Amino acid sequence: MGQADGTVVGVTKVLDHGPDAARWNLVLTGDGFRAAEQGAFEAAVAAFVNHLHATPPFDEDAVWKRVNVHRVDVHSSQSGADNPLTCADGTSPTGGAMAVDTFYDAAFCNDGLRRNLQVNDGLVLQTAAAKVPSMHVVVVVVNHVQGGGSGGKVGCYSLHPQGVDIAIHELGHTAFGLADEYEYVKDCGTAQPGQETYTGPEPAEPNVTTVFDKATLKWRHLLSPGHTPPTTANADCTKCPPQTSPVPAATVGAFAGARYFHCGLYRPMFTCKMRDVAAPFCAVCKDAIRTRLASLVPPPVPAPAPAPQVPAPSCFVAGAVYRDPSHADVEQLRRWRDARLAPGARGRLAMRALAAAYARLGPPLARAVERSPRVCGLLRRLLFHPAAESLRRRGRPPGR
Amino acid sequence: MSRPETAGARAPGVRLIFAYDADGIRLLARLPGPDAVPPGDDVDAEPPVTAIAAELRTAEDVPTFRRVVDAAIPASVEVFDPDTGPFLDPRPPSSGAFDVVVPDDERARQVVLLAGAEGVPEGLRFAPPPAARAADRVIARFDLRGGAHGAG
Repeated sequence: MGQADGTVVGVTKVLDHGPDAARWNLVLTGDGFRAAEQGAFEAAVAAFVNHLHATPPFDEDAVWKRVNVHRVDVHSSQSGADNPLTCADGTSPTGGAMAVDTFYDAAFCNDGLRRNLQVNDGLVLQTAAAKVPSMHVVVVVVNHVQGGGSGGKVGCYSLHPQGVDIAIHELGHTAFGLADEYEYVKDCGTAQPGQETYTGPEPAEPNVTTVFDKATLKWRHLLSPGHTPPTTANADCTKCPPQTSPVPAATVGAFAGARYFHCGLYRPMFTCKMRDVAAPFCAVCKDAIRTRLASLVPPPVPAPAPAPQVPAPSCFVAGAVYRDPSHADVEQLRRWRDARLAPGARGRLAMRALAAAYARLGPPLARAVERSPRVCGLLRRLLFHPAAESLRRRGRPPGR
Repeated sequence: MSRPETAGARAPGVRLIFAYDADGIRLLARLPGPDAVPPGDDVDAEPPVTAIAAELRTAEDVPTFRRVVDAAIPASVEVFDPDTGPFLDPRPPSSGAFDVVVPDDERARQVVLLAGAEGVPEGLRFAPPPAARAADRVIARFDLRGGAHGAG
C-alpha cells in the first residue's frame, strides 16, 4: 500500500499567471484515479479552479492574477479510497465497503469517524514539492463520491458535490491563516463542557477576536458604518448563541460565538465560509486573503496604487450602498482615492481637503443612504458601478 | 527582535519535510525549494504557543535562521460531514507531516525543532513536559550534512 501502488505521471500548470517565483502556487494532486480516469481527475481540477475563481475575493484581478495552479498527475493502481464496512461512529460506507491500493493511501473512517478522510501527508508533500519547488500549498482530491474530508497541513476532499467548498474552506486555514468561525466542536445539539466561554489570549487569526471595542477591533476598518459592536451577545453560554441574525446579512460587526466557543470570542459577520462551507467568505476573511497574497507575491499588472501617507477614511457611502465594504467596486474606488492621495499625485492637495471633509460627512451620509434599499440600488447602478468600471478600463494596459 | 544577518537573505531555498507519529518525528525529505526565501522569524523570541519553530544552526549550535510553523502538529482535526457541516475531532491526528522552506545556508550543520508551550499535543511520546522552559523544548535535531533525502 502507498507509493508502490501508483505512478507520478507529471505536472501541468493549469493556471499560468506568470513565473512561479513571482506567484502564489497552489498544487492539486489526486488519489484513487487510475490511468483510465485521468479525464475525471482533470475535470475535478478544472471544476476546482473555476469554483475558486468564482469565489470572492478570487474573482478580483488583483487577487486572481497572483495565483498559479499546478496539477500533479498521479495514477493509482486501483480506483477509489479505503472505506471499511464498520466504523466506530456506527455509520455505513456510501456505495459499499472498499479496500483499494492507491498512491497516497486515501482512507475514510480515520480515528473512528466515517467522514474523516485522510491521505499520507508526507508522501503528498514530497510528491508535490518535487514537481513544484515554489509550491505554497497542496490539496488532494480523492476519487470517491462519499462526503468527507479533513484539514491540516495537507487538505483533502472527495468528489462529493460539497467537496470543492470544503477544499476552499481548508485553504482558508492552511494558506491564509483564518480561524474556524463556528461556535461548537461537534454541533450545537451536543453539550460540550469546556467550550462554554473562551478565556485564552487574543487569537492570532484575523477573523476572530476577544475584543470588540470599536476603537481597537481588529477589523474596525471594515465595520459597517454607524454600527457599534458587539452585534450579538449570548445570554446562555452553555448553549450556542441564537442561529438567526438580528441585522442585515451584510453587516460587519462582532457576533458572539466563534472558533468552537459559545461565548468569549466574536466573528465579523453572521455567515462566512469559515463557518458554513457553502457560504461566501465574509468581508474580513476576504480582506485577510488579499493582504496575505499581497505579502507573499508582488503585485500583478496593473500595479496597485502606492499607499497613501495620510490616513484615508473608509469608503463610507460606497460601502453602505453595496452593503459590503470589500466589494470589488468599493475596492476599485478606494484604490483610485488612495492613488490620488499618494505623494506626488496630481491634485493631491485638493483630494486631501476632499478626504478630510468626507471623513466628517461620510458616516452620517452613509447611515442615511443605507436605510433605503431603493436609493442604494439607484446609486449603485447609476453612479458607483459606472465610475468603478470606468476606472477599471482606464487602469488596463493597452491591448487588453 | 533579533534576526541573524543571513536570515533575510533572498537565497535559494531548501524545503525540509518532517513526518511524525506517536513515537517520534523524522526528517522525511530535503528537496530543492523556491529561488528566494522570505525573511526568517525572530530567533530570540519564544515560539508561539501552538507552533513549531525550525532553526538552522551552525556546528557551534548558533542559530542562523528560524521559520515558525503554526499548528505544525495540530491538537485536533477538522472533519467535514455534508449532513451536519464541519466539526472538530478534538484528538490529535495519529500521524502527519509538515514542511518548512529555509535558505540553503552553507554554515548550517543541523536543523533543530523547538516546540511552543502547546506545540506538541499531549499524548505524543516526544511532547516536552508541560512546564518546560523554552530552551528545554527542543523536540528533535537532524544533521543536515549527513546526505540528502528526497523524493523523485
